[in-house]
Amino acid sequence: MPRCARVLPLLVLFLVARPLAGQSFVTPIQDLNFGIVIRGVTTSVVPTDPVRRGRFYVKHILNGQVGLRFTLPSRLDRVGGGATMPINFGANDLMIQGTASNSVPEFFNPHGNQNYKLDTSPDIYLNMGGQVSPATNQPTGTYIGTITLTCVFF
Amino acid sequence: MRTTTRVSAVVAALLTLGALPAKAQSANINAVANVFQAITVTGAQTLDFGNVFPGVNKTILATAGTAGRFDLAGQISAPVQVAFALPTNLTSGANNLAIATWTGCTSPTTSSAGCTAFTPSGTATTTAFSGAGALSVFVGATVSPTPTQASGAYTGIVTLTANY
Repeated sequence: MPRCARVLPLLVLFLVARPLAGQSFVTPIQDLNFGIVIRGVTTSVVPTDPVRRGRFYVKHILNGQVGLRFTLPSRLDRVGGGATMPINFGANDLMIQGTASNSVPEFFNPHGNQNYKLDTSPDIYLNMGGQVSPATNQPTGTYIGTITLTCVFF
Repeated sequence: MRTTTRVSAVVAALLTLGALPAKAQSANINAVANVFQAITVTGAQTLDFGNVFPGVNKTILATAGTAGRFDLAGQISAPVQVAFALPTNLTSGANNLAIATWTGCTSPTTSSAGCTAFTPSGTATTTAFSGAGALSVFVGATVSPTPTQASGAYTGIVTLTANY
């Protein structure tokens, strides 16, 4: 058997095992929405809240790894200016769950980088909770900040 | 020699592919919150039936001067839901005086003139704060004393709960 005939199947396998261009991606699904927040009342959203949680969708390949890094705001800015409001993310404010029936949700601190292995499904949802702490004299209005998720596909 | 060249090319391709840098992508979502002023509710005026006679129903309209009134303050122009805990009887010691019906009215001022009628109940009614963040809720009712109703001062508590 020629040597190249032994090597080519390996090459084919190798190419198949690598994600094709466009196959691996991250996309935003839902904003983290605290809704109405009363002055002086700390308000939390848990990542299991289907209405208010923030949400990303990540697709890669089964058994692939994704590096997850969040860039999180420490304050929300009042639309129109004039004020900011503290926002915090706690130890369990990131919930990752695959889409397979046997995928189990896992909770993480979004401040920490994660290397997540897609061992039950090739795609995952990342659900975000958080906590805002308006002051008792917090100016009323709409406050907004940006949460960035950067994925590195291995 | 020819075979060796092919194998080398394949190995080179493998090495090249294996050395591809990991692909990175980013996506953004927003964190959003609407800060509102807290709601305050004040029981401003008692619903006063005055003198009531056995066997004679008496009604106080929500627009009457002796209607009950709650004054609320909250976020300018924001929708607000009001719900009530209403007694079915007024009491005087062990005696009850039945309340047959309840009526309500909302107004952006403490005057009931031109107010918007609604039926108070435990189920929330949606109304709104005025452009000044004010709202008054008026409450009327009908009491139904029996022909043998015991005399005395009868009282009950009406509770209003407001939520955005």
